[in-house]
Amino acid sequence: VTVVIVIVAAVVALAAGVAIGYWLPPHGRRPASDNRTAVRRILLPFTGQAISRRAFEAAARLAKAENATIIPAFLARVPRTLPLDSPLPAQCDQAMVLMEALEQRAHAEGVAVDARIARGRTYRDALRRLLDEEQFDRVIVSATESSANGLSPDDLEWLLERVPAEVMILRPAPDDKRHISVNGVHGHF
Amino acid sequence: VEDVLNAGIDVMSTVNVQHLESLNDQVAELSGIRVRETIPDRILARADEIVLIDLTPEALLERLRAGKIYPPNRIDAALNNFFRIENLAALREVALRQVAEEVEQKRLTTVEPLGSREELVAAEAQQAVGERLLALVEPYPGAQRLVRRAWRSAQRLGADIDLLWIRPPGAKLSDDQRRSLTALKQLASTLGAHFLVEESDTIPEAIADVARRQRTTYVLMGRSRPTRGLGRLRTPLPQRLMELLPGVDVRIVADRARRSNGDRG
Repeated sequence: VTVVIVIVAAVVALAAGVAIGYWLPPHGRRPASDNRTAVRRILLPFTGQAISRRAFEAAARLAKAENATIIPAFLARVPRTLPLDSPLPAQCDQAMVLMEALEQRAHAEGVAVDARIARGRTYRDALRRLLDEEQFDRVIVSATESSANGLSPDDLEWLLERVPAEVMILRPAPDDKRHISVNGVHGHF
Repeated sequence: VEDVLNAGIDVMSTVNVQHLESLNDQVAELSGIRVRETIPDRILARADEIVLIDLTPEALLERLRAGKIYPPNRIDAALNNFFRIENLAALREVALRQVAEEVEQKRLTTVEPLGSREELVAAEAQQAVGERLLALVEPYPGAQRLVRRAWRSAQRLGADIDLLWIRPPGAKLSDDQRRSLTALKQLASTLGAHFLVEESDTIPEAIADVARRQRTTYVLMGRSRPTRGLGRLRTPLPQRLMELLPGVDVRIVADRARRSNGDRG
């Protein structure tokens, strides 16, 4: 009889445990992933209507290897005659679609993305403001971008001196013409 | 214009594209100059016919230099400020797009009216107020996608957009959440959207209050988190919102991960 009581008690205790676990709210549980080290952050600044595919692929490879998050940051220029916090619908028109394209591609590669928009009087100023606000472990830029539409050689030099993170400047290559553009968005957006 | 129309008199007028209210931010961004005198878009929308008077920037500058636009003492100042060739080219593009959109809008709405007079009046009144989107966000990276979708929808509808986060009272944010919140606010500001934060425990009621206050016509939300326990007995948020906000559309933006998995399956 004692054995039966013990077995019944064990079964009841087990069922109660399962039930309590089931009824607990999701935030009451601590996922195993909470114990791992902080996620690394890779900044991928870009300007204009396209982003170097090489720069993105480099960021995606590193992000996969290091379980990192890619932070694509659109650098927007605000005319000097407007307040710095002015809305920029024309630039956003391009940036939003491009960010969607980047996020779709990153998701296909299984990489986490957390996009940003940074405003400044120049591209360098926008980047500086972003770097002042947030910390990044790596910054990846392509040296092939035209300085008329992106970061100039001076900006890249400034970046190397200024950023307390590992900076990867991709050297020019024959496939630099490959870009991820707004045409890369799949499906309804 | 409205007074004259109400008096039964036809109005024929010219307007510069930079004076349209909805284009104010865009024109400011393109030209670097904030135009203070604006007219509501509904005035233009009421027009039976819109004719675009198109001129190349070069021809316009010639007219300016010839004194056909401003008196001689204002010509130099105009040339150095608003009447720069890149401004004029950008404004020309905006004007062409605007007229194209108006023509398309007219073509799409030129259908036989159906329904009673009351329904027509109600529909017209609603249209006059204009569309307004409310996107429900939370401080996490995935919310940005929802904001992008809301922004695109707002553009298509010619609507204003509000972002709303219902913050649980006393909730403390993690570092990641703080970062995401800052990024969301920055995104909202750059898009010209309004970022609203309401503290409340009763999420549907708080959303409904804001929606009524903002005269929202469209609510966008992401996929709800899975509920457990007694939460399963509650009416899901979208249904609750539809009950609380009759006449307001509710749209659930698909979860990218689930959509991709579905595609593969």
